[in-house]
Amino acid sequence: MHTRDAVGIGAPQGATTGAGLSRREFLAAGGIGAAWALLSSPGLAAMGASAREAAARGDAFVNLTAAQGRTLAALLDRIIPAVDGLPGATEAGAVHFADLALGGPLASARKLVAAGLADLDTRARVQQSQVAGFAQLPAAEQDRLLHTVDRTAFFSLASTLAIFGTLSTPEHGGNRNGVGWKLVQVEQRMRWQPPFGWYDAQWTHAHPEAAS
Amino acid sequence: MKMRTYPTHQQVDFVIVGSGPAGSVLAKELSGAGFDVVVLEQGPWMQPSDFKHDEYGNWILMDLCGGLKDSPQTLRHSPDETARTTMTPPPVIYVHGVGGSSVHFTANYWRFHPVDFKEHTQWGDIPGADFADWPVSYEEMEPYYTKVDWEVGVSGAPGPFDPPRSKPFPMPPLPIKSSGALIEKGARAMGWHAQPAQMAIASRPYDGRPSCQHCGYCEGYGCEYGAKSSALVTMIPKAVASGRCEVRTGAIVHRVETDARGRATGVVYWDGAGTEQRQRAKAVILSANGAETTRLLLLSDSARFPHGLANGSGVVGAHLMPNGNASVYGLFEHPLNEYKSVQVTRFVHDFYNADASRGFYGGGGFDGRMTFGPMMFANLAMPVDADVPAWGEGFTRALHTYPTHSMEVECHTTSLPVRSNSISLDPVLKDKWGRPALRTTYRYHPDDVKTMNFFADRAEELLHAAGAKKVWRLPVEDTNSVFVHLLGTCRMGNDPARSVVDRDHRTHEVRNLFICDGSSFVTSGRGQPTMTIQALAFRAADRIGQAARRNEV
Repeated sequence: MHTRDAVGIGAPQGATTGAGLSRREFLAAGGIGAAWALLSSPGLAAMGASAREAAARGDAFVNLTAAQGRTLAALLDRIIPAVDGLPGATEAGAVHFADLALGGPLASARKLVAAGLADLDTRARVQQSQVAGFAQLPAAEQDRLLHTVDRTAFFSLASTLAIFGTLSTPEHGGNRNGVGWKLVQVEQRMRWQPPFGWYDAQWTHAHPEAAS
Repeated sequence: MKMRTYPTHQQVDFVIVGSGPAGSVLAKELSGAGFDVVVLEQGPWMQPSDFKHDEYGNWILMDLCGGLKDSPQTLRHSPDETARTTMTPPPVIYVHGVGGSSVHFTANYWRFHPVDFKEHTQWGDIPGADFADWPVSYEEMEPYYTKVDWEVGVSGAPGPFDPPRSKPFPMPPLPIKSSGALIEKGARAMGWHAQPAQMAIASRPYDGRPSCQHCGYCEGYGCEYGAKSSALVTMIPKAVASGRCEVRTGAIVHRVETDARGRATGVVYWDGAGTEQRQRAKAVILSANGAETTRLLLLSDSARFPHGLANGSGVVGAHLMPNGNASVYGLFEHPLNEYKSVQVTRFVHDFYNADASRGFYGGGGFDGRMTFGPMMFANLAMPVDADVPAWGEGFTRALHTYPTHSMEVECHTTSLPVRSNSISLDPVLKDKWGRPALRTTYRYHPDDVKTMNFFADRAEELLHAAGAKKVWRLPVEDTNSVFVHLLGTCRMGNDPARSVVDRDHRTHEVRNLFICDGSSFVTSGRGQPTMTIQALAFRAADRIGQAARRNEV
């Protein structure tokens, strides 16, 4: 079972023991903060605000090499792939969120990421000798390969990066044009009025609620 | 309006450390009563226009809570372990800034019930815990709860299990959400009683503030409208408007000074430029929260107070009670859109009281909500099962529906006061300013774990009864800790050997040193402490002000 101490020793136990829950493994504690405990990836331990300061919107990478960027983008794409007309991590530019985070809050995870990406490329070349790396594999082959590594600490971190890069606010480098919010059907507005959802729209029981 | 300022060499009547739920009430009440008050706040003075709808910034980067770099903390689970550094997230979390954690709280304002103040008498001793009654009763507290309702601004309606109240709510409940409608449906099917949420959020324009605009960013965020009744927009502006209160920000307090007679003479702090300053005062009030108040007392040791100031009992920092918590989720056929409006519109108190027939001590309540925005929900709370793979096309499809079609039943439960559960000074790690880092030692009492699981079971029953297509829960774990309710570390009591402050919040050992914040709690209540923290502060202000006028501080 993952514990918060995993942060201190630098290895998410849930991932390394193959317990399986990886990023969603959850340890209930008190109050609203309970779920933060899940952020077991060692690099997340070092997150700070500098990603925002470094936020650049171009397609060039700041902290990843072009080759690393290609491999990581391909990986994030398979974690949240576009399907049925829904946008995925690629359209959200999640890799650019990851790139910026690796220069600031995730700086301590750079080694883990570099090694994980190199390993993916090596495995891809073993799988198909003619490809330069993971990004050049067909999607089905990429998925086949990922099923052999999806219990690792590196994959757990990548999974978190895909989610954060798709669903954080665009100022952090991902979720471009708010496509992540389109994916989850969440609309950003400063004001709403009831009814908010289907079930309260059906609500007829009289309670002395404020008129809005 | 220009704020009154005081030179540090002027001996003001009161210096208050902390501008949160308690410190702000004391500042407003005491300055309004004609005393000169200086409030020292370690964080910045943000305005509603400074707050952002930024899930990553607020929930991961800890934008409102001092960030991730300056205040490292350590955690261990028992006193014989060496505490380890944790960075994201730290074990105890609170807003660094004017208004304190009322800035980012969810704003559930449950009063304690009469039984909360005398549960030891009713239940008796519990092995492994220092269970005790409060030195105050609900009857004494009721006028102050009512003061909070009206002066801070609470929306709500009475429910079937509520304690007696002397005045109705000043504002009606906020409009029901889908989670509330489903709580109503599920509770009725189970024979339980849903009731409208009681929230420190304006449902109508109130006291010069606008009503809630239902933007959906309450829990973990500052309100951009000032509709959430945080100390930032309620008590602090009134304190300043009294003309007798200065709120000084960026003030990192590291010592309460005492003289040869053992009286407090003021506090020492580093200002924003890092220069050491001394604010002299006739009396000192600590309202810095259960962690920071503890650290300050322990740092203020001396030959006369070798174990820390006001710590002859040895219980400063002990009995940390963070409240138990369990999260259960349900997926429904139609969209709920829980990302809109306030978190909570209905809760259930059928299991508030502890019940010996369950075989363990514990009680609480649960409510319908969605704590997380879509980013945190996707990362932490979505199920991984036959329908929802951890990654891939099935995950993308699940992301399209789960965030808007799910709700959470969040369970809020008692924590027992265990002596070894504590805040203390880390012997090695320092913060940015050179103060010893906060060290949390925590392990749930076995009854607390049983209580959390009991409530999670009830929450599952409710969600099934409400028609959920799928129900899942996050496991209750007993060695992990990320706490936001920092209760009990300087508990009230009549016995100086077993408590830190008396029933009027005066420390047993230093006549002109008072403590009023979550640390004053004797028992934990059922998980919504701020209402009681503020009621205590209104009462403390009355008692302290009366004592000062009699020259008894």
